[in-house]
Amino acid sequence: MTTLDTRSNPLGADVQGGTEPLWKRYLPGHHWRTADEEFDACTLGFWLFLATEVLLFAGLFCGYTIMRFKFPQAFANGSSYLDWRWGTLNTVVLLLSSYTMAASIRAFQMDRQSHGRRLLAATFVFGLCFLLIKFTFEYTPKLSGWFIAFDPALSHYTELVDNKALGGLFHHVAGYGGKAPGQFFSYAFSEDPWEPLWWSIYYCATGIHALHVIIGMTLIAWCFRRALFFKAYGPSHYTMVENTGLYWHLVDLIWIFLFPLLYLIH
Amino acid sequence: MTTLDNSRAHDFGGHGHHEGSYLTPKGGFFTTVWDWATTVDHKKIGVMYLVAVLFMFFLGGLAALAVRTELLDPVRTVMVQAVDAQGKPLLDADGKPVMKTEIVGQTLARWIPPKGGEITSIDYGNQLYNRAFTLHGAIMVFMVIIPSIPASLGNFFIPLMLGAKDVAFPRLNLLSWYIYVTGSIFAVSSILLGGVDTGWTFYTPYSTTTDAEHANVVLMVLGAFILGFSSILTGLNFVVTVHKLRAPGMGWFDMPLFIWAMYSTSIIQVLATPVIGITLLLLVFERMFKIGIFDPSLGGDPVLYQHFFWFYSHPVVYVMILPAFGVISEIIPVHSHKKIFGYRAVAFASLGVALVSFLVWGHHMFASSGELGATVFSALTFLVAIPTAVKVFNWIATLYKGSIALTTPMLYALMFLFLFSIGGLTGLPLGALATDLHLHDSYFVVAHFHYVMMGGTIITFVAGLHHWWPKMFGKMYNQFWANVGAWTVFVGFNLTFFTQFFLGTQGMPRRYASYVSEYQTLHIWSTVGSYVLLLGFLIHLFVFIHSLVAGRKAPANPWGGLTLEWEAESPPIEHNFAHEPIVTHGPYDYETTVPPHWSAKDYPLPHLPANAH
Amino acid sequence: MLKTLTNNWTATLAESPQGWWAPGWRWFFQNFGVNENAKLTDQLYMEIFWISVGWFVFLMAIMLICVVKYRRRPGVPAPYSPSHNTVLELVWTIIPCFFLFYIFLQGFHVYVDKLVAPGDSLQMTLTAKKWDWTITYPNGAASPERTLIGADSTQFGGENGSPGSRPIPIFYMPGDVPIHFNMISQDVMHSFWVPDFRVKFDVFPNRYTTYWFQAKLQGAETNTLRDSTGKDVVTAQGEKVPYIDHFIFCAEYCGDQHSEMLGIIRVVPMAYYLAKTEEWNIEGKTPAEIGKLVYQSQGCSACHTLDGSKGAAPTWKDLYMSQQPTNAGSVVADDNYIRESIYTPQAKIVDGYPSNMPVYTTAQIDERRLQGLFAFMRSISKYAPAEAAPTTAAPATPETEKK
Repeated sequence: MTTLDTRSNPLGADVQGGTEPLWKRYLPGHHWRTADEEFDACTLGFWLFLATEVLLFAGLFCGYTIMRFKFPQAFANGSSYLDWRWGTLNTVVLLLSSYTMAASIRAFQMDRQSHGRRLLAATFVFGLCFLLIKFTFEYTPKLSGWFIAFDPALSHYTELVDNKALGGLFHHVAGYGGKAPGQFFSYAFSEDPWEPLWWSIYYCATGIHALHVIIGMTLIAWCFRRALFFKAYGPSHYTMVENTGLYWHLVDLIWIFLFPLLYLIH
Repeated sequence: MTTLDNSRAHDFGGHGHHEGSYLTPKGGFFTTVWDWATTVDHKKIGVMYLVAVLFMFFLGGLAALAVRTELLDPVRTVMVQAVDAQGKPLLDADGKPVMKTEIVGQTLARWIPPKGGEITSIDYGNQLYNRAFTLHGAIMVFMVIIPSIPASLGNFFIPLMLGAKDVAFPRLNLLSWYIYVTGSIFAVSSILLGGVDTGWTFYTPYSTTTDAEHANVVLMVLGAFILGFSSILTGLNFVVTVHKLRAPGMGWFDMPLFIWAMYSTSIIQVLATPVIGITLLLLVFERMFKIGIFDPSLGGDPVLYQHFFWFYSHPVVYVMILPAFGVISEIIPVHSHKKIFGYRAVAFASLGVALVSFLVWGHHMFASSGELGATVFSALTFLVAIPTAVKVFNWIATLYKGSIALTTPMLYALMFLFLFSIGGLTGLPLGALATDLHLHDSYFVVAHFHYVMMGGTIITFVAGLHHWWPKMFGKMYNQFWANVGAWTVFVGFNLTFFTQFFLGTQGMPRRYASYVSEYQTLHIWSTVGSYVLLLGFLIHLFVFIHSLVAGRKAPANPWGGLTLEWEAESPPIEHNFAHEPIVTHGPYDYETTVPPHWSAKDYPLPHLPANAH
Repeated sequence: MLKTLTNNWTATLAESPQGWWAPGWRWFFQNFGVNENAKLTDQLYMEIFWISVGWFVFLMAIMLICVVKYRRRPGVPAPYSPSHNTVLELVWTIIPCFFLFYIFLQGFHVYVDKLVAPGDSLQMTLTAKKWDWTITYPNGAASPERTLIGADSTQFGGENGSPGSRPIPIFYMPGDVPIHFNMISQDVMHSFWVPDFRVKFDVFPNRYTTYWFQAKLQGAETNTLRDSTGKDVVTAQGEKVPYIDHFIFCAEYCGDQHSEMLGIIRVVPMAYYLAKTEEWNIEGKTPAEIGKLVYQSQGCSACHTLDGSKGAAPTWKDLYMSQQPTNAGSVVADDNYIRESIYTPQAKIVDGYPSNMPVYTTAQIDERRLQGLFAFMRSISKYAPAEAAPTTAAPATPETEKK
């Protein structure tokens, strides 16, 4: 190791060649004195980055609070269209995913490679579940009135179903859709003139959160690939997977705040 | 975790390859271009930022000249005699001259004539003017002043001053540069597609309704949004660098004050920029999807936009000025060979300004908010004045019993003290509620923030460039002509902006394409001043070009500085230092330390009294 | 091109200010104290100015003395001097605090005066829209008077010129009584600024803001401040009326004609103000007279001419019931089309004109004023039927049905 000329490889990268797992071959960037220092710096940098994410959402929460204060009735009405059961399920899904993420980091730290990979994959699948629930059971019916056939909410509207598609997999409920943000709001049974604003806040907050879920899943997929092909993470080097985990916990944490604000306060 | 080989830690430089100047080309033309485009060397990235920022400064400056030229003459609709093709007056059947209306005073409309060639309404010329000042404001704020000192000088000198080989995250640093360029391309393309007329503040509901048929505003706002990422990543990088990469022996209070200032700046960038990020994103959604959060017709609140906007944009004022404080805190001790007076006060004042900057955004809205908020924000605003004043006192006290050389950077630093004092003091009537209700959104405000932003930051940027030019490029420049340029800029600047204080108190509102005739004399002086300013900057440009082409080789420590960057070669080698520097003296210990590369003969140390230190 | 400064800046209301801060006020203000609050504002400004000058000169003097006295001499080191002195540093931190606290208190004190209107103020409504001001008097009338401003006799309108091409509204206000505006905007943000009163407040589209002032007339030397029409204001009996003009500027950027969004506050005696507002009161007027007042007071006259000449929008001469080519096909300019053009002006644009007519609401032009406009337009159109035609719900003609 000491014979390697690190300057051909100035950024802290994986030294090519050899048959050992990548994490054993990893050398810190040439401007670091030790790998520990590099790891500390990456963690500090990542915490700062997480602070910026929190502040980004803080702006949204601030907008939510002000609008809720100005138009309490519209927000109560809007909130009543959200099904707390789907929200709770999604919360559970994300909490589980946070657990698998943390466990995965632990596994890599113990050099249990295949266990770590499995947990990473599980986290990814949980993320996917979250998005699926969000889009198929929450966004789609509210925007278009199309329900998936086994959505329990559909039972309230059986007599209103006016169309079916994909062999009965999707049912359209007349008049249910149109709960779109702002100017595109066209829900006919709205009881408060400011309800469009509620949907604007709802879609902005959950939409930007969903975008973060997607970014987090991309990072997880990238870690998984590196772990699978190169055994990139192990007891002495796990920076990337650790920071991905931090990011994922933040995504989870933001949802923990969004969930009661949007679903539970009426 | 395992301990890696510590042998490498002291192995700075070492084995020989690429140990020449960082500027040495790596091969042929394309190889060199590719090397620069993919470099992770903070010095090259700093130079790339410098080039990009100077280019944007040129664009923004052109827009400023367009604005000033338009204001040379008020727009009027006048009755004139109609003439035929030969220029003879047309006569009607009774032999009386035929009169027609004509719009005079619209310079921009004559330069860029409308389709069809004839100016039939004042709107066209006004639209050009509104685009010109928006262009000027947006470019100068988002693409010039914010990245000017931090991204170019900061990138180059933070690692050098800390005795490090690079910033903490070199690849992220390169990414920041590309993000900056991408954001700038968005902004410039919005201009090429017809321009934006919202003003750089993008106030709703004007910004969400204007030019509804095209996407220029969205492009410009997205450009600012993207530039925000560049800003966040650069700030984050610097914070971690300062925390983790100080040379052995360098404690927090052994850091040069430039580092302190950059550290405070970076913290503001990291903490304030996300808020503008979400605000601009909501603005884009507002335009594209009409979500209504800022749109009063859908129940939204335009004042909320202003709060969000200024929550970022006020701290950002200190992102612009704190680096300038840092540069001045370097230049004054170095060029007067004097320990800075009250090091800790200056360092803590930087942090103090950074802290208070988050609490004063409301003073941009005295004319729109209620009395309680306005009063609190007014009181907090005066708080900012205290650390700022302390800094000015410290700089002036540093001059006392110094050995002051009137080099170009020092000349600029003294000009900074002059201009920034005016800028700061004219902030007082803007912070006081009663006078602000008169002066808000008038030319007084325009003059005030130009004294602070341009007289403060841009002047200091140029000062820092002259201070570190020999280090960056290894060449000296012609001091005489550089001083001529500095004086020209100084005269032009004061002529341009001092007149605007009087315009403001007399009632000239800002962002006016035209005005009532009483204001014309002052406007003419101001415009003449802007041309003098242009001349001054052109002199500097030629001095720099001459220096690069024919300048004599710079010594490693031309001014006798004590901070670590002067220990490196000029220009620095690829890895900055041949051996990892170990810090044995403070950054400004001029009484006890002979500057690196200087001989004790050239620099006799003063006799210290027994009770010194 | 280089016009000289006009001589209209003669300060008329200035009692020359007294006090240590008074010298130099003319550099900044052309008149001193058109009312008590403006006086206090100017005084505060001048106090801050001289305090600032004191500090600035003090600092720059020290700086220059140091630069000269301690300039570098080759081979001579900078002598030792302490680089830290706690007492000195505390002193120069604390002394500015006193100045700053004084300025803050004064600023707050005068500010409260600007905010709180006396209870017996005259209540009026101010409406801002791109790019015009409208003030509704307590009796519901609005001022129909407009003027071009400028200084040069070669300019538009004979003796006048203007910063654009549009005449700006004149609002008659009684002197020496407090007046209180409730302000609202029709579209984007504007800001109502009368530099002579030293106050501005923003005007929002979704909330009311207020503005109050009391303009001095008694005891002031009365002639025009900046309006150069040179015409006297006279009563119906031919008596000269003393008046003072103050400019209104829009101070919040609002688009193309932001710099043309001006107005004039004309301060006149109460009796004359009452007579004027009664003259413009629509009560007891015929529909055509009401229509003419609306035409003048709501800004229609800025673009629509009455004499057939081409303005920024179609002339109203011979417009009523005429055939107009539009982007939605040819239409007859009947009541329905005119109504549509006022409340939703973008619907059908007459060929050859830009689509820049502002939207009016029923609050600005109610049914009665709308009927007045029809009557007024009918009275100047050769296509109008001679006898009074039904004015509402006119059956659509086959031409309007097309497209």
